[in-house]
Amino acid sequence: MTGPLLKLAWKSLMHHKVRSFVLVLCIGLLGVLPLAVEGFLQLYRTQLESRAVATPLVVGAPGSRSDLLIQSLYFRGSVEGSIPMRIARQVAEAGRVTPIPLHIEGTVRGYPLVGTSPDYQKFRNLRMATGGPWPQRLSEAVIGSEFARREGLTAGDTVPTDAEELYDLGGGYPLVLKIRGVLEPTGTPDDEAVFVSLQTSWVVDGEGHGHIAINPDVDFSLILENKSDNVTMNAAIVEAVEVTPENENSFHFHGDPDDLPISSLLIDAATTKDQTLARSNLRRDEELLVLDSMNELNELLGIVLQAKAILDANSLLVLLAALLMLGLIVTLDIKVREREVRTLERIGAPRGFVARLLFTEVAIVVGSGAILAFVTARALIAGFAGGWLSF
Amino acid sequence: MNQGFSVEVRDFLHRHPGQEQPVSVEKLAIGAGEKAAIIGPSGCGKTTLLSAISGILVPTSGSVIVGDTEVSKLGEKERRAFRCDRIGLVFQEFELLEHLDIRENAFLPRWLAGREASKEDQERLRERAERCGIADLLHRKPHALSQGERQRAAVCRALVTSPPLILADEPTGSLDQGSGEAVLDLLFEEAQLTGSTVIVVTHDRSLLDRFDKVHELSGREVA
Repeated sequence: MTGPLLKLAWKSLMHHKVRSFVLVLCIGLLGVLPLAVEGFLQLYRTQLESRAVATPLVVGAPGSRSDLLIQSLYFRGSVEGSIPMRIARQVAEAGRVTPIPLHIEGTVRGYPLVGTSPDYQKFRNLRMATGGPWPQRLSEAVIGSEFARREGLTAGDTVPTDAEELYDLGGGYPLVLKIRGVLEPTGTPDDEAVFVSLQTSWVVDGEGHGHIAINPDVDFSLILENKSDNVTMNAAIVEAVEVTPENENSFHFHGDPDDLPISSLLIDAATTKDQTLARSNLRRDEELLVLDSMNELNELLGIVLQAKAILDANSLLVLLAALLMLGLIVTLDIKVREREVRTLERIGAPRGFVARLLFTEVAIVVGSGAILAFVTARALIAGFAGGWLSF
Repeated sequence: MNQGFSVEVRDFLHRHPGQEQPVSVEKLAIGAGEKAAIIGPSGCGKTTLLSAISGILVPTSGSVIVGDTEVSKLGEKERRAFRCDRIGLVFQEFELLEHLDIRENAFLPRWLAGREASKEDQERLRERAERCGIADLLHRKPHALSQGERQRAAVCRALVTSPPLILADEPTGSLDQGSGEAVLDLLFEEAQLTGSTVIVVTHDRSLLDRFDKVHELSGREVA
């Protein structure tokens, strides 16, 4: 009996194509949101966790733990304070682990500018797709694959950093970066970052500066001060600073290099024991915030999952409303199909056949809607699966 | 040739819920292979009687015997199987499902009995469809046919199982004179060819001469 039942149900649904299609579409759309949210959360969780597992220990200035974690691992947001470069030197001198300083202050076309040491490349196992090597000199940069793709940049191009305060004449100028290489895709936040040396990031941050030769044709009304050994010009004279072989040596940092700021320090430990010892030593310094990435991430995800529970409850209510609507449609449908029902019964439909026929039709519609929702949600998720989910 | 079923109704009484006047038939006897008409005023119970003979309903009292089977004593499942296998039904409103084409409508009783149409069924349909003049219309949906074509399709569905008993409830009621005659021709031709018994409920007195027997529901046999 299943064969004829399915055949009749299918024929009936096909006869009312528009109605069936709209019903399937409605159920599909209802299902897409919760399924996609679930899938995206799973994907987010996997990506966030894999990054946290790869970066077990993070050191920064006291303040928001989540801000420090999110900036140090995912290059998003900002942290309140900074720690001096001295900490990195002390960790390196203590041995056992490799400290990897990060200075994340500026942006390039809205993407994070990450000042770091060459150890970062080894730590994250980053490979050059084109160009190289890792930037060592002032104003050199390597860029993530996604940034390169979206902005149409490649090795050999130049790109200025973003002006932080357009009307702050006392602020740092954008610095023209020379792209030395493009990294291979990794499916991590590194794909969307611009990596420079710490020195470059400090210059962008205004911690260091160079002196620029003035063009003899310059408007003399822009001269603010003229001494025998130095001419001070109005800030309007340049739009961006470019490091050239002529002015490279004039770039310098005032004060003790140990006091230069870094946003955070990643700890690369070969063994768990080394990591534990490093954590223990660092935690003795009350001026530092030492994070176990996975613990912090789990706390953060706990908050996200609470928000998801509310969304789930909402989805459940919407689904319930949809099922009630479907019930109403089926009831009205029975009225409309009264004659068909009578025909089936008179010709010889067994007891309960019509009910089973209607149930089969509903099951096909709901099943098709569910498949549509599942496939659409999977397609949406698959579209992001290959890359890092920006948030 | 098929052996048609005789039909015997005795002390038939059926009371519809909420209806004061019950339908009653003291005696009705139709021989195997006969062509019988049932007439009577509207609401006298012609359709009820036909429904009882086909096993669609069970009378409140009395017996309905079709061939060797006392249909009124059968359970729901047996009556349904009996109806699907042994009785061809034709209705005034054709009762074709709009979402099925004519071929599928013809095999609907087979499907409802839980069976797929066999090669033999296919061959029989082709032959009956040719005889009914709808061989070219088998893949059309009912809404694409004229009234006369629809009724011929409904007759074709009733004949496709070569039933020993054909019951037709006002088969010409929705048709013009010519189409009505043509439908009756088809039913009688089947009876002629296969020996089936044909019982037709009709209002059309001009057709009565063509039947072997006419039964008026007051109980009076008029011919």
